[in-house]
Amino acid sequence: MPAHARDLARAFGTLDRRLAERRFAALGARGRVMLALLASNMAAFAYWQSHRPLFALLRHSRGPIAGTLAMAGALAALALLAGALTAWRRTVLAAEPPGPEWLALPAPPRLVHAHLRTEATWVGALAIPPALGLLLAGLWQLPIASTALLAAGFVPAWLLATRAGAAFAWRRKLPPLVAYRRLPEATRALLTAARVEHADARPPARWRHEPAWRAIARLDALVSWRGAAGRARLASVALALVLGGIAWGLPAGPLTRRALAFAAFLPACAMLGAWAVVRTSDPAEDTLRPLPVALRDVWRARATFMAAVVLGSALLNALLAYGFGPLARTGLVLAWAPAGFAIALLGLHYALTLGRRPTLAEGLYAGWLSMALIASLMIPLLGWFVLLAGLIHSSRRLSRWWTPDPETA
Amino acid sequence: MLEIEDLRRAYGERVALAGVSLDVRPGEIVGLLGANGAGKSTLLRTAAGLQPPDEGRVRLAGHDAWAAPLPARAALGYAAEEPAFHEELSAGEYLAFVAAVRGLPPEEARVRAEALADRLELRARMDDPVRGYSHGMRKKLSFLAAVLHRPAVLLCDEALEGFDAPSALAAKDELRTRAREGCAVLFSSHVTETVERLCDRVVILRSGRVSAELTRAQWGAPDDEHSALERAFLAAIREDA
Repeated sequence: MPAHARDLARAFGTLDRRLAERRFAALGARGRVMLALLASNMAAFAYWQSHRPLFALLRHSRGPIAGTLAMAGALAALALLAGALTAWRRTVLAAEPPGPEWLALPAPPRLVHAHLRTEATWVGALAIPPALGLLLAGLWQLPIASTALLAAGFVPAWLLATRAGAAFAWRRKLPPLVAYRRLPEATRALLTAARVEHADARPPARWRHEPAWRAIARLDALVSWRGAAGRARLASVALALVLGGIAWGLPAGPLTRRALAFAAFLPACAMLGAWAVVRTSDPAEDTLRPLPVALRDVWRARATFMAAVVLGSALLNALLAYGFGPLARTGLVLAWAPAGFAIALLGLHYALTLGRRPTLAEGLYAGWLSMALIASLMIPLLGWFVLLAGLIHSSRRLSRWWTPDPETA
Repeated sequence: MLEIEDLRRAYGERVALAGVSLDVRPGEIVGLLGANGAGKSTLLRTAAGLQPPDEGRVRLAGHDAWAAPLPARAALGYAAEEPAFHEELSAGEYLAFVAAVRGLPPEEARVRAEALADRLELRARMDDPVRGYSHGMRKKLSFLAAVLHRPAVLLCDEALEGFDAPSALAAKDELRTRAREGCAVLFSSHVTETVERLCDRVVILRSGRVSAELTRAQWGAPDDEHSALERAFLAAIREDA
C-alpha cells in the first residue's frame, strides 16, 4: 500500500474513532446510565427467556449438543437481526450521507464506502446485549467449550450479517443510469444521494384565522403527509392497526383474538409516540421559538391528534370485537384508550423536553417502553406502573421546553 | 424598546457573551458589528428566545423575553442567520402559518406577504416547496416572515447576506419604513458598507463584550482606502486588543 493510501486509511480510521468518542461523550452521565440500564435489561430479558427452555431441553434427554444447536440458532437469529437493522440504517443514511461533501474530496470511494458502512453498523450493536444474555444462560448449563465456541462464532456471524445488510441496502440505492455505470459503486451511491429532488409546486396557501394550536396541528398534518419520516411513522401506525383489525377475524377464541389485537394496538401507539418525536425534533421547530407560541399550544396540537387516533382505534377495535357484549366492549375502550394515549404521550413529552437531541429522546422513549414491556413479561401489570413512572418523569420535565438545552444550543 | 442588560452566556468553557448591555430606541436602526465569534449571533439568538441566557435580562417592547415570553415574542421579528424551515411547505404555506400564529387578519396578511414577496422577487416561487430554495431565497423568506406582522422590535442576523442587489435594496427600504413607523431594529452584519448606510448607531462587539458604540457623527468621513465605518470598526477592535 503506498504511503499516501496508508495515510488516508489512517485518517478515516481516526475519523471513525473520534466520532465514536464524541458520541459517547455527548450522551452525558445520565444518558450513559440509561444506556447501560437498557442494555442490562435486554441481556437480563434474554437470559430470563432462554434459561428455563434450555434447562428443559437439556433435562429432557436431548443432551448438550441439542442445547448448543438451539443456542446457536438463537444467536444466528440475533446476528440476522443486527444485519436487518444495519440494512435499514444504511438505507436511511444513503438518502443523506453524514459528513462533508464526499464527492468534493480526493478520498478513495472505497474508504468513503467503508466509513459510511461503519456509521450504519452502530445500530447492529443492539443485538449484542441479548446475545450476551443468551451466552450467560448457556454458561451455567452447557459445557464451557460449547459456550466458548458459541461466543467465538457469534462475533464473525455478527460482522458478516451487518456487512451483508449494509451491502444489500447500498446496492439497492445504486442509480440505474447508464452514464454512471463506469463509476465506482461508492461514487454512484453518493451521486444518487446528491441528486436534487424534483420539487412540484404546492397548491396556493390558505390564509386562515385560527388559534395557534390549530395552526400547528395543520402544519403537522401537512409536514407529516409530505415528509418521508413522519409519513413512515404514521404508515406504521396504520399497518399495526390493520393487523389488529385482522386479528379480530382470526379463527380463535375471543380472548386470544383480543390478546392479538391488543398486541397490535400497543405498537401502533408506540409508533404514534415515535411520530411525535420525529415531528418535535425537526430542526425547523426552531421557527416556533421567536413566535408567540406557548408550550400548551404545541402540546395541545400534537396530543389532540394522538388522542383522536388512539380513541378512534380503540373504538374501532370495540366495534370489531364480536363475541363480546356491550359492557365488555365499553370496558375495552375504557382500558385501551388511556393506556395507548399514555404510551404515545410519553414520546411527545420526551421530544418536547429534548427537542434538540432527538437521538436521546428516542433512546429514552424506547428505553421506558422496553423496560415496561420487560416488566410486564416478568410480572403481569408491572409494566403499566413502569409506564406511569415514565409518564410522570417526562411530565415533570415539560417546563424545559421554554429553555432549550444549553449544552446543544 | 429593546433593552439588553448584562447578558452573559457561555458554551461550556467558552464565554460567548460576557455581560453585554445595549438599548435600541423606537425608530432607531442599530448596527451590530464584530469579528467572527465575537458573540453577535449568540446575542441575537438569546434575545430572540432561541436559547436562554446564563445571566442578564432582555426586554422586548417592555416585556421580559424570558419571564413573559409570549407578549415579548408577539412584539418581535427575527430574521435568522441560518434559517431552518419545514422543507415540505411552500413559502406561502409557511407565511400563512406564521400569520395565523401571530393572529394577523388572513386577507390583510396575504396581501402584505405578496406585496413584500413581489419586492423581494420571491413572488413567482411562493408556491414552490422550500426544499428547492437557494440560500438567498431562504434568507428572503426568513426576512419576510420577520417583518410580516410589522414588529415593534426587529432582530436581523446577517439578514441581507445572500440577497441579490435589487432585493437587498428593497429589504433596506423595508427596514427604513419599519423604523419610521417606530420599530426598533438591531441589525447584525459583516458588511460595514451596508451598516454604514442603513444604521443610525453602531455597537461593536469583541470577545463577548461591547467594545465601542459609535454614532453616525462619530465615525466620520471615508478616506481612500476604507469606508468611514470600516476605519472606525478596525480602530475599535485594534484599540481594544
